[in-house]
Amino acid sequence: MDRHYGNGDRKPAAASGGGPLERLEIELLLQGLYAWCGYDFRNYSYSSVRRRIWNRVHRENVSTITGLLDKVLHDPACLKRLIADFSIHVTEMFRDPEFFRLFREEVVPVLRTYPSIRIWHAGCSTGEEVYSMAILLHEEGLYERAKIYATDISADVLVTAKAGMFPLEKMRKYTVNYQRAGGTGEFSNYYQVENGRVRIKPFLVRNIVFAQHNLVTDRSFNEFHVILCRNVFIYFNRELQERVLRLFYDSLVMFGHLGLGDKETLEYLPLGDRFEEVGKGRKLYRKIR
Amino acid sequence: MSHELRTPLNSMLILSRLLAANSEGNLTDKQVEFARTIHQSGSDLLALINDILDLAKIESGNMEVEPGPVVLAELAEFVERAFRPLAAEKRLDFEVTVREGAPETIVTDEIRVKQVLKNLLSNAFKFTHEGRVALEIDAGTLEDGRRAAVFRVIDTGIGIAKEHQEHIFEAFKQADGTTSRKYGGTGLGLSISREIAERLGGRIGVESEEGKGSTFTFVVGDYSGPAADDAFASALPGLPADPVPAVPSSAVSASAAPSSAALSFAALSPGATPPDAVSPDATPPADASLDAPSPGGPSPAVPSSGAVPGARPPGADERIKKLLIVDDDDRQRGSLMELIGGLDVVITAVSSGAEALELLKVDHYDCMVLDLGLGDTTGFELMEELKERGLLDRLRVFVYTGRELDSREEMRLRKSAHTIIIKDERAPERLLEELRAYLAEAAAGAETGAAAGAAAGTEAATGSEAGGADSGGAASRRGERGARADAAKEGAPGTDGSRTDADAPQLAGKSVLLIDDDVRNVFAISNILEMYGMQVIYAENGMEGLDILRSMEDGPHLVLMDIMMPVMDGYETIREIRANPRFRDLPIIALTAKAMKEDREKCLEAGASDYIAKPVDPDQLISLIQVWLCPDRENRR
Repeated sequence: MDRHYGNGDRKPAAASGGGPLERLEIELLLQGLYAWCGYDFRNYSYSSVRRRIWNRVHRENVSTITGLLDKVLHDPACLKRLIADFSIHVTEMFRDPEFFRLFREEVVPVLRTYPSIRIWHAGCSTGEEVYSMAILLHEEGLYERAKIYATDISADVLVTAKAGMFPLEKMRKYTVNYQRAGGTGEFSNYYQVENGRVRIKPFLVRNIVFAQHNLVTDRSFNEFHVILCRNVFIYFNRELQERVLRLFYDSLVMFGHLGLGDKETLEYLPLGDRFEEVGKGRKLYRKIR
Repeated sequence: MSHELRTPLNSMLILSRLLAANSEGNLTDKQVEFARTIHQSGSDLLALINDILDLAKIESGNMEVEPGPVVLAELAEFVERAFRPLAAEKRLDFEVTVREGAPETIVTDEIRVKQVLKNLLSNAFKFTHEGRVALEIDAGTLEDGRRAAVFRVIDTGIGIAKEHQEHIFEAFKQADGTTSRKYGGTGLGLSISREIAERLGGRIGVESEEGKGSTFTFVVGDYSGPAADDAFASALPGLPADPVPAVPSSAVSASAAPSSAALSFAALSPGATPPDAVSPDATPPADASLDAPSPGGPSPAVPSSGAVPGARPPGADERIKKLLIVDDDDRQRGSLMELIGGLDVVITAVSSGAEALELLKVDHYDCMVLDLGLGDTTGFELMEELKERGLLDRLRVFVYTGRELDSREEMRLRKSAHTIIIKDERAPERLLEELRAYLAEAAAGAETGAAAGAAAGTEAATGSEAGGADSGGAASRRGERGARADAAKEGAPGTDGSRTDADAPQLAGKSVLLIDDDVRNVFAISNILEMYGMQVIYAENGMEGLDILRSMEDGPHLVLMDIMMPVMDGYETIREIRANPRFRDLPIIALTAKAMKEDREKCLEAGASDYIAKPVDPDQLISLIQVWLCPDRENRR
C-alpha cells in the first residue's frame, strides 16, 4: 500500500515554513486528532505528515494548521477528509512480481506442512494484493486451508476491498504482473467483467476476513504463519517501526514469514536479528528465534 | 553439548581449587575444607556427566565403531603401562599374560576395547585390597563359532553376591547403596562396558564369589558390522526387526520390556531420573550382602576413559533431552531416527500406542514425535489417554502426520500438541528445525531457571500477546504455544496460592461459550476459567457459536466474544444473538484487540454487555465475569 499525496506537494506558505511554530502546530493537530478520535499519527514520518497537512490546509481554505485543527474538531466531514489524506492508497495486483514469485518458491512449500494456514495482510488497502495472495494460494492448492486476515486502518478502503471490484483498465498491467509472478493458470479465470468493472470471483473472497485494525494502537489478534505489511513501514518513524515490528514478532509463529515492501528493511531495528532474510534483497523475512 | 555443561563446571573446579589453596591465608581450616569438598564434588559430577554422556551416546546408537586391526600384544603392553603404578601404590600383585593360542590380532575398534579393559581393571583395583589383579588374554569363540579374543580380568577382591551379579551391569544399580560412596566412581563403567561389548558384537560376563574375588570375561571377535543389532532385535518376541541400522539398542529394549528400559534410561538424564533409580540411598535396606559391594565405575584415580576430567575431547553438553518416536511404519521410524539422530537427544522409538503409553508411564520423556495413524490406536486417542493420566504436562508433542486435518481435528490436537507437521517435501526440514528450536529454548530455559519461569507466568497472565513495545518478556519471545499454555496455568490465579476457586465459588459449574479463532487466547482463557471450575464451550467463529447456542437447551451463563473472526465477525454475531429474545439478557463480553473508543462503542452498539481488551488480563477477566454473573442479574434471566 502506498499512500500518495494527491497534488498536495506544494510548499507551505513561506510565513509559516519549517519553524518551531509550525512544528508546534503540527504536534497540536496530531495530538488533538488522537485525543478526539483515537487516530494516532503522532509517530508517522514527519516530512510526509507535514506535506499532507499542508495539502489539507489549502484544500479546506483555511490559512493555518491551527485553523485546520479547529475545523477538524468541529466538522466531522473535514475530520474524515484529513484522516483519508493520511491514508490514500495506491496498490496493484501482484505488485512487485518477484516478491510473489519468491513467495511461491520459498514460502509455499513450508506452508504445506501446516494443517491450516493463517495469513495477516496488514495495511491491505483496497485489497489488490490480498486477492493476489488468494489466487496464488488457490493455484498451489492451499487456499482451502488458508485464512487471510486483511486489515487496514481505514474503514473506507475496506469497503472497496470487500467488494472485490477493480477498474477494467488496470487489468492488463495486473495480467503482466501475474505472469511475471509465476502464475500457473489463466488470470482471466479469476475475474469477470460487469458493467465496465472487474469483479473478483466469489470463491476467492470466501476465506478472507476484512477488518479494521490500527497498527499503531491495536494489538495482536491471532497467531500467523505469514504476515505481509508492504509499504507501510516507510511512513512510520523509527519508534513506531519498532513497535509494529514487536507486534508482528509476537503475532508470528516460530519460523513464520514476514514480507515487507521493497524499500523497507528490518536492519537496524532491535528485533531485526530475530529474523533472517529469505532471498537476497526481496524483503521476505523469516522469524528464526 | 557437553561444552555448556563442562565450561561452568570447569570454572567451578578451578576456582574451588584456588580457594582451597588459601594462598592469601585468610580462610579458616573449615573454609578450606569446604572449598576442597566443592572441588571434589565437582570432579565427581564431571566424571558422572562424562559417563552419562558416553552411555547415552552408545545407547542412542550414536556410537560409531571404527574397526581396524588390533594387536593383542600391544593391548597387553598398554594395560601394563597404565595400571602398573596403581598396582604399586596399592601394593597388589599385577600380571598381564597373553596365553598361547590367543589370536595375534583381531579387527575391531581399539579405542573402545581399551575403554572396556580400563573400566574392568579400574574396578578390579578398586575393590581389591590385598592379593592380586590379573589380565589374561586368551583364544575363544563367539556364539556363531567365529574366533575371538577373550580378556579375563581376575581379582582377589571383595567379590559380588550371586543375586547382584546381573544388576551390576545396569546403570546406577550397584550391589548396594554404600558402594559408590565408599569406593567412588559413577557406577556407570560396567553399563558402558557392556553396551560397548554388545555394539562390537561381543559380550561381557562375570563370575564371582563373595570374599574371594571376581573374574570378568570380555569376549570380542572380528567386527562384522552393526548387523548384530538386527539379530538382537529379531530375537525378541513381538518386535518387528527394524532394517535401519540406526536403531539403538535402547529402542529395542524399550519396546520389549518397558520396565527394564526405565532402568537403563535412568542413566541418561540425571535431572529427570527418579531417585530410586539413581540414589544409592534408596536401595532396599541393608542385609548381609551389604558388605559385599560389587564393582562400581571407574575411579578418578586411574586412567579411565570418561572418569578423568579433560580426558575426553571437549564436546557438548547439558542434560540430554529424551525423545520418543511413535510411528507404526518401520521405514518411517527408521528415517525419523536418521533425521533426528544428529541432534543431541536420546531417541527411543516404538511402533504402537500401547508401547508408548507403557514407556511414558514409567519414565519421563521431554518430547515425542507422534504419527497419528497407529496400529492399535490413533494419535488422538493416545494423546487424550496421556492427558487424562497427566502424562502430557511436561511432554512436548510434535505431531508428524501424512493426514490432512480439518479444523476440529487440528484444534483437538493443539490442546496438547505443541507443533503439527503435515508430511510434505519440506516436512523433515521443518521437524528438525522445530526440534532444534525446542532444544534451544529448553536450554535457555534451564539457564535462566526459576526467574524465567516467573517471568513467563507474568507474561502469560497478559496473554503473552503483543502488549505493545513495552511488554515482550521471555515467554513472548519464546513464542511457543506450549510455553504460553503452561505459563498461563502458572501465572493465572489459583496456582500461586494467592487465589483459588474458593475466592470465587459462584463461578464453579457455570458455563461460558468462548467464541474466538485465536488459539492462543482459547487455551489461555480456557485454562484460567477451568481453574475456577467453569465449563468452557468453544466455537471457532460466529456462525459456529450461533449453532452451538441454538442447540444448547440451557444456554451458557455467559459469552466471551472475539471480534475479528472469519465467516461471521463478532459484531454480527452479537447482533444475531440479541435478535433472539431468549438471549436478550445473556451477558456477552466482547474481546477486542482494538484500542479505539469507537471500536468499543461499536461493540456496545452491536449489543455486547461489556468489553475487555486483548490480551486478556486474568484477574480483570475473572472480576468482570463475576460482575456479569452476579446472582441479581441471573435472577432476572
